[in-house]
Amino acid sequence: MAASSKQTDPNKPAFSKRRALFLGKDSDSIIKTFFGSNAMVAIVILALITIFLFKEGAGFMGLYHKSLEEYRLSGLEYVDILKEKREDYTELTRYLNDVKSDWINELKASGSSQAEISKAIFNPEAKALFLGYMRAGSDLKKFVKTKMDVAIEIRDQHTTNENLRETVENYTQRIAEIQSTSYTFSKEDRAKYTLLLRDHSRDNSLPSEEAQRFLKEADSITPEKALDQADRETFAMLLGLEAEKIEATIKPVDFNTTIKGVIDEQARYAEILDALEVSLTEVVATADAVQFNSPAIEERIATFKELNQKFFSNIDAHKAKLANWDQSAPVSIFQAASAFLTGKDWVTASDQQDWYGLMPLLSGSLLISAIALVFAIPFGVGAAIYVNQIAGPAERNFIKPYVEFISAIPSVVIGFFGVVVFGEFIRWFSQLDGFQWVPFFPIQERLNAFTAGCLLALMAIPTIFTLAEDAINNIPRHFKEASLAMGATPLQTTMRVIVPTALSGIISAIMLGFGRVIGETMVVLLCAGNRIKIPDFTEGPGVFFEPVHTMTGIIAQEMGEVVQGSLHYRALFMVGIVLFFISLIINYTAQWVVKRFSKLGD
Amino acid sequence: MAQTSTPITTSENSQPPIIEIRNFDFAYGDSQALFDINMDIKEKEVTAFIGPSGCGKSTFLRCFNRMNDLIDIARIKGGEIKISGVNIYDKDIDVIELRKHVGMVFQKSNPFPKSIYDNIAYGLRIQGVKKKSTLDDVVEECLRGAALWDEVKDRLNESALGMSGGQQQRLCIARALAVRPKILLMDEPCSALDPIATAKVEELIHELKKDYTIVIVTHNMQQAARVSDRTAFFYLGKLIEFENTDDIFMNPKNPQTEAYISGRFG
Repeated sequence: MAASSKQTDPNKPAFSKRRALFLGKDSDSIIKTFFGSNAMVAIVILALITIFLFKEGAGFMGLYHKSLEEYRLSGLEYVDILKEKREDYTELTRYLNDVKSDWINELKASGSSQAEISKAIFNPEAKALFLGYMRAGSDLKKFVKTKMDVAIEIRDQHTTNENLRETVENYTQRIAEIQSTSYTFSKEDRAKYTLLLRDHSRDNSLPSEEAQRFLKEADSITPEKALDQADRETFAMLLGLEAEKIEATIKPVDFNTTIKGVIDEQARYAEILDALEVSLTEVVATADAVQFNSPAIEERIATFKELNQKFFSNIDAHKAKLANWDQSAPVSIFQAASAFLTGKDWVTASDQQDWYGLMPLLSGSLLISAIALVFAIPFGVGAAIYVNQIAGPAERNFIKPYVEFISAIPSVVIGFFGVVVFGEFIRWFSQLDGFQWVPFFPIQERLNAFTAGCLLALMAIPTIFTLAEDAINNIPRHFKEASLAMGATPLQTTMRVIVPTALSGIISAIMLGFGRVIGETMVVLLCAGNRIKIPDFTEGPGVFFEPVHTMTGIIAQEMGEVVQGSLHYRALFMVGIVLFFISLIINYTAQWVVKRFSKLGD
Repeated sequence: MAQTSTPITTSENSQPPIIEIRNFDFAYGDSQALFDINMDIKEKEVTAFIGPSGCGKSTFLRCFNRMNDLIDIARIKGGEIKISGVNIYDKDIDVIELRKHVGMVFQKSNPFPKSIYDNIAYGLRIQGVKKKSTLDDVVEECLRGAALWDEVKDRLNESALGMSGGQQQRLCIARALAVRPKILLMDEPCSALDPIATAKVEELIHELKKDYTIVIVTHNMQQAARVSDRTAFFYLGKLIEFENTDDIFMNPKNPQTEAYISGRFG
């Protein structure tokens, strides 16, 4: 190649012709083209991913809006209001049962024999209380169940109709296609056509010779036989007949009429509630007659009474809420958006209403990330400072590659370790007798936010460590020298000069570690416990040991089993979009921090 | 090793030396950088080290406050450096205190990326001084001492990195003064400055001479001639000649010195 560039006209000076390697380009421009096109490909792929994500997610709001509208029109929303009271009552029943089992435990602890215990809990007063309370609500439960069934039926019928309409729509399109002259029969078409002809020939309303003709036609169709205009028309006609049959099965739902089946009997419901109040008051009053012989249990019974009073006093508000419910109130698209962004439930494949609320997933993701960062920041940044400033060369050469090696462990291996070793260890540890003074011990779940957070910390440490170490390493040596020359100790130099100067780099390292943590999927899927519920922050530190679900986890878990294009499918894409924006913001912030605060020297 | 050659000293000054160097050998790993240096540096004088690049003058300077400790492969092969009669390479030496005693100004101005005020106050803060009034007083005193006060008194809380190069270097001198050293080492302090800024720093050195012993490394011979009382010429890690500045420039005894001064090599 070099030789070719020498072949210049001897009469001209050497600079008169550019050196060319390939297609008239020199090596510099070839390299430039190569890397430039690589960058271009990366940008295009990123753009395609973004477009795909948005395209798939885009339909979500519309579909969810429609779903919420149907929720209101079918009266399911009304039923959910009805259910509130039933839930309250169930909650109270559970509380009473709790008291009962505590009482039994206490009797056992005080050394009572089995017979004595039975005698105590089955004496008439106790029985009247515990059993009476449970029985009192049966009318309420029945009533709510009936109404719920009505509403579900309406909703189901409506959904079926929608599906049938879609099918009919598909038929219409198909027929239009077949009627165009350029249409050719495919193998499937021939099979379908034959089938339709045979079916039609069995139609009793047809004259027999006509039926015979159809049958003959059906028999004559072979894969080779050419089909003409007449065939296309017959095929279209037969398909049209089929579509008509399907259309006939649609039983239109008139929400205005059907709703009456749900919202009628309000007077009866009021009666049921009133009767419940009376009977519960009676039952609760019997509690005074029961000999609990335990101040703790009696205190709980007192609380129970208060809770009951609350339950009764809410009845009027509940009735008013039901009376004010309006089927025809419009659902705005913003309500759909806020139902997604601030919704507290993520319920899928439910027989009533599916809910796609981001909050349980977002709070789970953030809780786990917070736990991970609490561990990863001190370890990652601390190790970076230690390795760069304090450790000797031998230690440095040992620690650095090993910390960076952690990031080479596949996340599924870390997750596996978390399930089998770490989660077990935490539960075992929390059950040790010596640690029962810790308020939230023993923990019940082996897989929880804390387990996942600790393992994610392990994954974030190499990221934070490497980037923070780089940032510290980039601090010019003369800052350190200047500080030491003034009589500062190495520790003072590190804490007062090196770390403040490297702070922007350290913060961006932390941000990128955060990005790593919030986007991690495998570990959270395996170790976070996957319970879709907003963590109960009122529990104090116990909240860290609750199982949670995450945004990444839900996508990985549910994407495999959703119908493409369904509301659920699009909801998962919406979660992906939210995740995408969170990562984008994190990365952008990291870059901004570096730019804004790294005005180092010259 | 302990052969005692007579230290090269200048004759007429009779006060005791503040820094005494005896048979000093220094090496980076296997390559020896300084050979058998003997020298006395007198109090409240300016001593200049000159010599071609790589002759070991900066290395030697950094031995006085043990900055070479930061380099893993640096080691003392023999001899001693005494400051105020104490061998600074003794194993009982508190290096932190030594560095407070022997301040240093570097070739490249290196203010911390903090405010002007915080730069000066740093030396005191690391010693645990928190009182605002004390800090204020010292900052003003040091900035006045470095002839910088009038230029920056209105922008003490602005970043030191916004100052000009000459101002930054004088700030570094002021910062070094804040810990009240007895000796001030300057490692080519003007090499990155323009002539006007250089003149200001030289003027400052002249002022500081009243209170501090100054050792300055320079490869600008005119500067050595202008600011120093005594000049030492180093070549290939050896001290060739150490004389009164006037003598060394007017009447060098060693032919190598003469060759260097007259610009025939280096």
